[in-house]
Amino acid sequence: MLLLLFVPRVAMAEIPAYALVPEKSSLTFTAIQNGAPVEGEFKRLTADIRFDPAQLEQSSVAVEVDLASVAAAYENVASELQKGEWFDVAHFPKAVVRTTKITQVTPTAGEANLYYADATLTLRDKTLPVVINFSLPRYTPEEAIAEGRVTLLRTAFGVGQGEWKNTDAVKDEVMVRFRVVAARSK
Amino acid sequence: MATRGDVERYNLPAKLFHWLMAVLIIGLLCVGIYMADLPVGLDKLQLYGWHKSFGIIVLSLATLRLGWRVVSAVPPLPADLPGVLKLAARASHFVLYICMFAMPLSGWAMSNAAGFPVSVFGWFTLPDIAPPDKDLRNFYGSVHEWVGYGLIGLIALHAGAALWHHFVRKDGVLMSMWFRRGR
Repeated sequence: MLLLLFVPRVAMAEIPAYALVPEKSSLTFTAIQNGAPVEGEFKRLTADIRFDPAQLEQSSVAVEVDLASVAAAYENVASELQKGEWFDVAHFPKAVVRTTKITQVTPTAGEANLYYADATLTLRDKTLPVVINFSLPRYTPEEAIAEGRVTLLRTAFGVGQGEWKNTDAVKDEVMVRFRVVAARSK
Repeated sequence: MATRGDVERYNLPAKLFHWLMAVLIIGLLCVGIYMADLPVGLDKLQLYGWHKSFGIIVLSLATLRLGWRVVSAVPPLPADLPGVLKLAARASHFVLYICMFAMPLSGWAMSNAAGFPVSVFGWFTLPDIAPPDKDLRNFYGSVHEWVGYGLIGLIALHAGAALWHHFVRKDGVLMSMWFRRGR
């Protein structure tokens, strides 16, 4: 009986898994063309979310974006972006984000629930490290909401080939924003 | 509006506005027609950028010009010009001013309705005057296109009339807008 005292504490609690609620979630991006911002979004994505702010080392998030679901106010923009010079959806239908480490930002006054994730982004044929800043406005056993952003350099991933490498016409920096609403799945 | 009378010629600012904007507007009309038919590509995007930027320059000049016209003296039409031609002159000038505003404004709105805010040479971005909306984009696109065609016809008429005044009537009308040594 006493031996039980010596059994190492094996498990922390299992990391809760959350499933993305697509209707409430969004993934948008803003690019600058001719000096003016143009917005687009991706309508279809899936996510594997295992997250617990108290167990960040065991937490991980993986997101798959269906690049063919890109949409913009001007439909020509969306159809152009799927072509070979841009996302090349025919060869690279998905973009994948995988976190490698999630860290909580040391809270200062009035800034709780801030995190950043070291992650890899696979876009076209490139996989590169990215840092994603996010906040966690809501985290309950039933629901988690995360909002964040990352600025990507499109040319690093080869998005914009040939003449479109010109970063005067379309800037290199593309700001990506997301709002993930996820319901507890197990 | 300042009444016609008082002076023989247009003043120097009026002349500068007139010829500078004539060059810009004719250039914009030519580039606009050319660029609209280009296939999607970098050059098309760049031309659109120049077109929109210079279009806003024209809008700004038109605003200043209109203000200047309201407060300054304008030479009279030739006294012996038939009444119907005087009416035609005033009407065509009025419509030209309408076009000077309608073209850049409809272009600006069309760009916004297509989801593209208008940046002036990358210096600053204008606020949106229309929401992203396909129907609005088509509407403003049609306005921009057809007012553009009308403007081309009107410019041809305006220039033709000026030459007629100069070579046929020899009434000094063209010279009142032309630069000349010693007012």
